[in-house]
Order: sequence, then C-alpha cells, then structure tokens
Amino acid sequence: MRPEKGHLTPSKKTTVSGLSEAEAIDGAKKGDARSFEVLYDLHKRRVYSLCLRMTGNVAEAEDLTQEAFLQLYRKVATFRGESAFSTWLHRLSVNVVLMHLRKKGLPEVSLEQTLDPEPDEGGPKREFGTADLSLKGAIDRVNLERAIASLSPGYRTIFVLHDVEGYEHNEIAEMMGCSIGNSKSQLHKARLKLREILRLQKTGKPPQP
Amino acid sequence: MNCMEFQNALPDLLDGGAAPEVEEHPKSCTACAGLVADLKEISAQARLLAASEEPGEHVWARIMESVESDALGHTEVPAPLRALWWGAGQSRWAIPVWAASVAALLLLGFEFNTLRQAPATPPEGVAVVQPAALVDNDDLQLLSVVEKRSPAKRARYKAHLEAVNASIRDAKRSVEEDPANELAQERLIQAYDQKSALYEMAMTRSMQ
Repeated sequence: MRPEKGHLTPSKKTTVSGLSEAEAIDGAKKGDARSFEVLYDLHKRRVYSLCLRMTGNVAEAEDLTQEAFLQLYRKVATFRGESAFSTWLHRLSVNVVLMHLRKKGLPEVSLEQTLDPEPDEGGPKREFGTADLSLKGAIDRVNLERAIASLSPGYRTIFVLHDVEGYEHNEIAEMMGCSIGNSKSQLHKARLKLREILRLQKTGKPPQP
Repeated sequence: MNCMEFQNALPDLLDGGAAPEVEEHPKSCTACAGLVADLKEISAQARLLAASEEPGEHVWARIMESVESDALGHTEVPAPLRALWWGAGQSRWAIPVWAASVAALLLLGFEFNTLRQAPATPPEGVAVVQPAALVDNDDLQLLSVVEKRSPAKRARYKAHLEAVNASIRDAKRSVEEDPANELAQERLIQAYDQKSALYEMAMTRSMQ
C-alpha cells in the first residue's frame, strides 16, 4: 500500500487530548475509553470515506464504520505493531465492507464483464472530437464522487481499493479472492467507464446507466 | 502497433510495466494519447479523495452503545445490564475477570450453604416478607463512589443494581425450591457474575 505522505508519523502525532497515537493504542489495549476515542478521532475520516465510497450509501457507510470500530475495540489487543496501525485498521475496515457486500450478494468483481470483455469500451472515438473532451483539469471532486457512485459494485470496489485507497493488485487479489490479472483488468474497465461517465457529464448529457 | 493493440496493453503501461513499443504509440496517435492522459488524470484525482468524508457525530454515540453491549456479552440478563457504561472496556479491567468470577463463586458457595441450612419454611406464626429488589448496604457504598465521580450516573447504576438484585433474588428462590436444579444454579451464578461485573466497572472507572 502507498505510505501516507505529507503527514507526521502517526505514532508521533499528538492529538488534542495530548495523547500520541502510540499512547492511545496502548491505552485502548488496556480498555481506556479516552484512548479509544482518540483512535476514533484519528482514523474516522479514512474509515468512513472508504465505507462510503465502496457502498455509495450514507446509511450503510455509517453502519459499517460503526462495525469497523467495534471490531477494533474487540481486536486491538491483537495488534502487535508489525505494520502501521493505520494499515492494520484500514485492512480490518476493508474486510468489514467486503463481508457486507458478500452478504448482500453483490458481485465484488464483475465476473460478467470479465467473461465478456468489451475492448472498445471508452476507447478513443475520433467522431467525438477527443481533444475537446480532454479531462485534464476538468475533473472536480463532486463530479468524480458522483461518477464513482454510479459505477457497478464490482468496478467501484476495485477502483476505490486501488486508485483511492492505494492498495496494490496483489493485495486486492488476496482480499477479494481473485487473480492479479483479474484485478488489473477490472481496474482498467472501471477507469474506462469513469472516463465515459465524466466525458458525458462534461458534454452536459446524463451518464448512461 | 495499432490502437486496438495499444489499448489491450494499456493497463500495463499505466502500471509502469509496458514494453517500449507500447510507450511509443501515443507519440503518434492523438486519440490514444488523450485516452492515456484522461485515465492518468482520473487516477490522480482519485488519490485526493481518500479520507475526505467525515461521519456524523451520532456515529460515535452508536459506537459507544455497541461497545457497551459488547462489554457484557449476550448472556441472559435483564435488559438494562446490556447498556452499561463503557467503563472497563474489554476484559482487561484493573481486577481480572477470573478473580471476579472466583469472588462470585465464593459468594455463591456461601449462599448455597446458607440456603441448605435455612429452614424450607419459616416457623409457624412468623410472617414471610418478600424483600423488594432494592439495593443493600454494599450497593449503597458503591453508589456513593459512583456519585462522587459522576452524579449523573448514579441513577443508572442504581437501576442496574436493582435489576441484578431482582435476578439474584428470583434465582435464589428457584434454588431454594429445588437445590438440585442445575439450571437454577447456573442462573444464580450468571446473576452474581453480572453483579460482580457492575462493581468492577464502577470501581475501575473511579480509578481512572
């Protein structure tokens, strides 16, 4: 996974309460409520954002955020420090979301798309005047969020895990039980679909379902 | 290399592992160059989205509620006991849980002996008064400790103590009626465990 850039080393950050993350982890292991709250404050945005993007639904994202931190409460004693705490918590959160998607019966990876590839999807079409529809400097956060939310669950999961959250294909393949090749293929198709949606938004036409 | 071949190889190019001829194609093809630029822009903008959303404040309240419920597990206890304060957190309280269970069992053993020795029926002429499910002197001392720490929590602890005392009373009655009833004995142990857990949470929070 990509390391966090532009931030203090999490273990050294001092929160409003005066506790560093490392101190909060030790406190949470001993059952200290304040320490647990410090960990929540430090990581709530990352966990919630992940849940929201992978489900596209605020209520589900809140439920899954709650479940992820409940899992943290139950399992924090097992954290040994082999990885960064944020990585450990993030992986736990991803598993919570993937379990939820499996229970809903939603395809985590769009196998239909894999078995019936459309190599032309989103490809350059000279008749649309490609230069005028360049996305360089034209993607804002709201449009991109909307476009991601409109992806099918399988595409959305792969795209969020790789391009938003920074997981590598081997990590995604392990989490989702697919091959690395499948992960790469799905990501590419997700990006092509997003390009198609964003170009349609730019032309003022509604995105295709 | 034509555009179709380039697009098939595009995932590798974006991952940084494409052959040189793949990298050459966009230099002479405006459409494919535009495609590459667009996909790179999408990825770049996506990286900025991580941790950009904030959950509502009610999410934390719900987490605390679920942690409270989880702290006591899901045994058959009166409903109020499932919503105890987060106090001791997980099983790593200042007083080990096993010690609390031992204390509960010792107390239970005393209670069993007392029940066996006590007459099954009161002497003739003596009115039997059923004790109300209130709190005893030890409970009052605990409530005093809780009140010093947080007056607002006293009522909640009192309600929990009353509920668990009622459970203990009912379970003791069942054991009196049938001392060999293992289910009744188990219920009595559970009720004492719950009371022990209440004391631990209250005392541990008071030490923080």
